[in-house]
Amino acid sequence: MKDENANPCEKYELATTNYVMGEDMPISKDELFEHLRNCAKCRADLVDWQDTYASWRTQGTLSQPEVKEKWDKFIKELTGQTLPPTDVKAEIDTAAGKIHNVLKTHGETPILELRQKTGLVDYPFYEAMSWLVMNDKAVYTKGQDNRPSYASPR
Amino acid sequence: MTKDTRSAKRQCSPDQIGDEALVKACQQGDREAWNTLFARYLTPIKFYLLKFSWFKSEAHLDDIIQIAFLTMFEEIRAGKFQPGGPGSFKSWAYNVAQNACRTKNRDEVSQPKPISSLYPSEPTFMPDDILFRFRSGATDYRQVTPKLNEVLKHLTPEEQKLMRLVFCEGKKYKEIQQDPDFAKYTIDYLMLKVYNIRKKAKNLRGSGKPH
Repeated sequence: MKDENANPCEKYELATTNYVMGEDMPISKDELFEHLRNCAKCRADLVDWQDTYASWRTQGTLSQPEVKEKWDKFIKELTGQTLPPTDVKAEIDTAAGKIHNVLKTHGETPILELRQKTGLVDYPFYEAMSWLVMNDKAVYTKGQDNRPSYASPR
Repeated sequence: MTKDTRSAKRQCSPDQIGDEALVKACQQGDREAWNTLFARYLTPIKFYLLKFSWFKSEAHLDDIIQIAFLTMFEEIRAGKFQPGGPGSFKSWAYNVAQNACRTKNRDEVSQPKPISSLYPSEPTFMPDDILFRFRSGATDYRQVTPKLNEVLKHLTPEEQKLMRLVFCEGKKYKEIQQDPDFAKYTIDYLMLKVYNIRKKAKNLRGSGKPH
């Protein structure tokens, strides 16, 4: 005898439970989605369970002290980096200062080594070097290939 | 720190300062503003990813959130997000999280292993687009459900433990079966248990509305 109180959508609700959790489903995804296209109640159930699952997982994991500590540490490390100014002029100015300090300390330095010591990439390194040379703060020396290979303080 | 930011900080607690004001402060190099901004968005971004993406394991989610935060950090510094411009910071942050998801999905797909070992069925990271789309802020996670702790009070000790394993530790059924208390249960039985917990939570809140 048929149980009149049986939920006709129960098998789809069970499938939805696993679908949202990323677990294998007892039915195929095609069968579930075919049902969802035609059943507003199950669509609402899917969205409801997505919200519930996401909310509980978020609350559950982020409330753990070791997880909070891990994220606090990550954020501090990320934001604790040296923050150069965001305008170009100031960036070049800062780079020029770094290069000038290295040249004053080490004297004539190969360009590659100078870049490594200052930690500067193409831009703003070359922009800063141009500024230093044009303002008589540094000098380029050409190598055998007739290209600037060394920099030294003036 | 600028005068405006200092004045805003004196008048408001960090939680009350709006996103755009925080971003301006970040662009001035204010480290406290950075910390406040990221702490504010950690939970909503994690909720957003859990709700809309295939990524359920803590390791994947951590990677994606870190990628998203790194991107936000670099782009705010480079002025790619301008406060007061078109679009809110919240929408932009969710966009960054979406793109981080796509990057992670691409990396995973390019690994030489079967997709079925990572995902239940499809290799895409988004649920079926026909039924719904990404909507940033579509549901405020704080209003969505009864808090986890409130629901736990209405469960048996075994159900409480199952909830903790699933929602606090992010474990899958196969991993839960390794626990001595659940070793005797089949995966189908664990699924039924979680389904019953769902129904209890739904009854606590009242019935949902059709979409």
